[in-house]
Amino acid sequence: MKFVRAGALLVVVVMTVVLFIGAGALPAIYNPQSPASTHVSDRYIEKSVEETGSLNFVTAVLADYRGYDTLGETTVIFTAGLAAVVLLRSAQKADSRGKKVPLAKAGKGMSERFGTIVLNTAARFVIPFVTLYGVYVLVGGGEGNPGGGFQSGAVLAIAIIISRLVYGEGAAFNISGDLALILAGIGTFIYAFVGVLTLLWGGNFLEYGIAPFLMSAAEKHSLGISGIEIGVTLCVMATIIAIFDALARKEEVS
Amino acid sequence: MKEQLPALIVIVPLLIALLSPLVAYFSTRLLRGLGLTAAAVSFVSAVGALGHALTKGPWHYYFGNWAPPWGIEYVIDPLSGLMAVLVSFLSLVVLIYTDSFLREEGWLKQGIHYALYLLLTAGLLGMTVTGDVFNLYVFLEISSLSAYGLIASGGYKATVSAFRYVLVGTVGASFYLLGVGYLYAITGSLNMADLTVRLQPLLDSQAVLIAMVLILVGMGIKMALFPLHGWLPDAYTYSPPAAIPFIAGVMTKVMAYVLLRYFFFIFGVLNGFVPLVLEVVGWIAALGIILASVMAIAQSDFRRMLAFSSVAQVGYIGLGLSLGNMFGFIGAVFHIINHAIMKCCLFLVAGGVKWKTGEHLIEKYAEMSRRMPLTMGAFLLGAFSMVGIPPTAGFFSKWYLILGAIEKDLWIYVVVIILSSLLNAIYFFRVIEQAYLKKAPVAEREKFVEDKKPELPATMLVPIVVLGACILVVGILNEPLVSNILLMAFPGGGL
Amino acid sequence: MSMEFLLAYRPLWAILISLVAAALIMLTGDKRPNLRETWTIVAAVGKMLIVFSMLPLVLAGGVIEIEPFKIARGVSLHLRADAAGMVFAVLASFLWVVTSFYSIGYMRKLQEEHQTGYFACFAVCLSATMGIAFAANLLTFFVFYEILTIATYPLVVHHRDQESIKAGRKYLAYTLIAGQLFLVGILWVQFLVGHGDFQPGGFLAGKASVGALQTIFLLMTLGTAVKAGVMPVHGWLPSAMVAPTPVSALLHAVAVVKAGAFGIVRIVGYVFGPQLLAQLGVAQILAWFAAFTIIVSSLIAMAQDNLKKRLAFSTIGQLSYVVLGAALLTPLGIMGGIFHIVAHAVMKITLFFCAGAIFATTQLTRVSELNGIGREMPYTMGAFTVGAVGITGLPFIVGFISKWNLALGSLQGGQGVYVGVLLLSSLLSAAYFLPIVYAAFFKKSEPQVAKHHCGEANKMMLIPLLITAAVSIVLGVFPNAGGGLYDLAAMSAQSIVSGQFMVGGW
Repeated sequence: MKFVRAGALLVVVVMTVVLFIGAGALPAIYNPQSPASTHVSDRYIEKSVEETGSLNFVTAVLADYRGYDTLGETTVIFTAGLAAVVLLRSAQKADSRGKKVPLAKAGKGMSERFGTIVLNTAARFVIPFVTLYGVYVLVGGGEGNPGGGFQSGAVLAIAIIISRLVYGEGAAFNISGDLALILAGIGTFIYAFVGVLTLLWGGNFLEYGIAPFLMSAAEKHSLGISGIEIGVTLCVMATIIAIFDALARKEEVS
Repeated sequence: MKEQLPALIVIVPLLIALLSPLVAYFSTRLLRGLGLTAAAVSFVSAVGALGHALTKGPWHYYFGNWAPPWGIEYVIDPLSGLMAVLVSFLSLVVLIYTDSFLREEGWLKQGIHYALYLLLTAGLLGMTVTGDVFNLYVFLEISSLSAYGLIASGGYKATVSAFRYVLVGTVGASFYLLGVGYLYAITGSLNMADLTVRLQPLLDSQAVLIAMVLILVGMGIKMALFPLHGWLPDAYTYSPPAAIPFIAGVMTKVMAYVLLRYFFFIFGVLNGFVPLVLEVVGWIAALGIILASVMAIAQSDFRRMLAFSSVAQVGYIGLGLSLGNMFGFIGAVFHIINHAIMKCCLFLVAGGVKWKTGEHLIEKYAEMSRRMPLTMGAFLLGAFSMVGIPPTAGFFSKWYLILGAIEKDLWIYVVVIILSSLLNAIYFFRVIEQAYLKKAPVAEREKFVEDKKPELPATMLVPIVVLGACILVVGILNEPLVSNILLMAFPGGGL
Repeated sequence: MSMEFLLAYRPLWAILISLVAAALIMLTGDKRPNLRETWTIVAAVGKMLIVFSMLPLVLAGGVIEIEPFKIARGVSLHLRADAAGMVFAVLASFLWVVTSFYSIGYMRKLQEEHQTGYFACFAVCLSATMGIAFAANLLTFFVFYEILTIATYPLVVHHRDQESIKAGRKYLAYTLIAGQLFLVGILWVQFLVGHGDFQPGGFLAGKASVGALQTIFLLMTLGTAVKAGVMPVHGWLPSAMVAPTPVSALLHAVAVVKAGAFGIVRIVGYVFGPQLLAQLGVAQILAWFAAFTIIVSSLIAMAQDNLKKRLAFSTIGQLSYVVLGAALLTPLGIMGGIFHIVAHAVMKITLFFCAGAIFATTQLTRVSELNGIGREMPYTMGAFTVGAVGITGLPFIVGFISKWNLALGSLQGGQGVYVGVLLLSSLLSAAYFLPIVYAAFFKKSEPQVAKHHCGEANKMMLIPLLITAAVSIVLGVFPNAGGGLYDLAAMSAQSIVSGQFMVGGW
């Protein structure tokens, strides 16, 4: 064991030294003449508004120029959710091997366990506003304001998690783990479907400008971006809930 | 739609994967049908794209119609097209095979399995056909995560080994990402063709060396290049038989392909630090080939034996990579094809035996050739190919690799390859002896003399036989494959 | 399918016919043994006819050459029926017909298991043997060489008991390692010259340094010498005698070991060539090993009580006659060596057939038990006598002809010492064979052994061995009978020495 630890320590030290040296060989981040600052960035900075209709050029890169990567990342989130569910459910079954405990259906909420009125009241106020904020982040954000699909999804998920935590599995405002997985897939599918539409309309995948609507190019791109953001929101929200659900079940069994 | 073929290769499996949980909820039969259709469409698109690349030159496809380096592009050249055909073909074959394993499961388990499987397919295909290094990372993540999920679904031990794979694999992916970051910092571009041009004047710099090493180590971990292979034996042994043939056959090969792409195409084998780095890769690969083969001999579980064998075979590909010449390249790519088919076939056999008899220890394989003649026949072909007996495919990879080694006067590699063939013979013939020559204990014999049923359901048997036949066919037809596809894939268009 | 195409591709059909038969045999299975055996016989006769049909052309100095497809970049699967190849092919195909009948008799008498696999593997082995005979370049040769190795393995381990499995492992270890060494040599040549095409008189002159060429020669001969049973890498042969006797007969006296010896002829004559080898000086060393093998194996044979083991060591020695012939580098030497492939094959197969017939009829395996058996099995022991006397080299049986040429060949090359080796070997062969003949006919059988005597062997086994014995005598008097084999050997030697394909003998 000692060898392994010593070896690991050695590797860490070597890596640190190497990376420090390497960092020195890179051009400085603030250098306006560095390749990263001069090669592709110019077009993104100067042309993104007119080409993509987005006031925020980070969004423009993420959702338009390199929108395919973001589809990939959304898929990664969905996949991570699936994998986490598989891992947690396997571990859960492993824990309950031999014991005759049914896989948890009776999840007790905090208010049942701790029985305070404070939690109920607070939840009833907090949950709606959080949900509303989540929707706002999606719709109002991304363009000029902070926000966008990923953030929105996380906030919406929080609303549901609070509900689950407080009221338990029987909560009214809830999405079951199985349904969450289905929704996560649908969310990502919505994102991909925008791309499928562009294919059907004769363009390349995610070529927003090909949409046969009577709008300017920038508006079409905006529409496209909005569409994919909805998909992202749904996916992120549902994935977080699915993972939470799997974790919650594991807790309840053990 | 024909102009969209490059995109369809990846998009179709991806779309179906995303819908899998939904579809599974309503009808698992529909899910099976959709899954098979997706794999088939992907395969046909890949073949079409490869055909285009061979006759009309590399196919560039721009996502969102943004030109690179501002947008992401897919590039189908003979090499990537060939890899795409290979991955999609094996995905389809193994998907047909998994039918029997999943039939009994609940809708959610089936839905998750199809989702993960098709995501793995889409992820690996995305890695092979992309022309953007960051897009490669994204799809690397997709394929890795889905692989972790698939492996973890095999039971308790599988979950534990999957978890180790998660940790180590993520480290590997992070190294790759870091390497890409370095490359971006010094060139400002993420597009492969663009990088090739922009890296030319920079190839002697330290930053490039570090990027190269990071990418090498990162992908080395993912392809299980010795000594970074520690995660592989457990992961392959305990993984569910429905998933492992595809994972074992294809995952490490795609990672190896990434290294080939980087070193032969982006960096260029003769430039800067590359020859030095490749030399180190060669020693490590050679060492790995021998040590892994020796470890394989010590195994009593059939799947674990195959796992160590995989590590050794990946070493061959690493060796081909390190040679840096045309024969080395051909040997490496040809071995990618061969090993993918061979290993996939062998794991299909292992899964079939487990399904029929529940056995996975070699000593329990006694008289297996009586019970499952066609299955063990395919195993024979796989074994001969691994040992390198002509005219199976495995012999010809060694032919090209040894030619490459002789050309570079690296006789030690010749010795390593020859020695490993003999070591392979030891552990494979041990299984052959068990299956064909040893007698089963009397109690066992009663059972299978009674059994009049066919050895395996058709959905399992046909893939096994088809892949076994492929081993022979690819071997006998290796010349057209090499001359018409592989040589064209070589940078510079071949001779 | 035009007639031309069919005729031109005869070498390929010769190979394929038994592959098809193997598949048919596997499909027919154990349920219908007579149908199954029919496939073997049809394939064997068919193969023989195809091969013999090519004789006139080759005897007239032509070759039948085809390159059906490429088997690796820059290398095609190249088949050529030339003089040397035809010698081997004619021999193997004729003997397969005879052996097939014998096998059927033997296997049925002993009611052996796994007969389907046996006959199927046998067919594949003969395919591979044809491939080896007709191979026109190194890679094609190697492909069929390895296929032969693999296809013989199931035959060696046929009885599936501990001893057989061990023998099988030994066989594989020796032959696979040898195969790999051979492969390195082949690849090296491929790299140096760009091709491996056999050329009479060799094609390696001046292509690489002396050291490199010597190493290549070493690798290639090691690779083939193992199959040819040259000492000290002969160890697998005696162990392989655990296989059923028809296997030992055809494969280990005719096909497998002759493939090794034939390989050495190809290497010496068609890859390196006598002139180059004389310059390199390595042929001498090969000749010494051959001579050593000839003498020592005979000495060991004398000490063997198990009849098949005695025959095995005799085979080892006799094979080195072929190797010696090639290593002499003289026209008569090479010709003697090639003709000895035929001579030894027919004589040895007779001897093995007799051993098998004795075992099948009486269960006896030891020389010491054979007293008086000549009276019970006169025809069998008669044939045995022919074979034994032939090996010793007495005139009127075919063994004399090749020995005579070999002796002349060594004188031709100024290496008279090998005449002495040949003489000594004759004496030793007499020492280990003639006592058996004497004991069989003139000694009284022990009482406990006499219980086993059941009369003569059954017809299926008896007729083949009488045929091969007869062939030994006929060829001893008319060496060109049947297939013009003597002329073919002469043609081959001439072409090797002069560097081109040639007509006519002398």
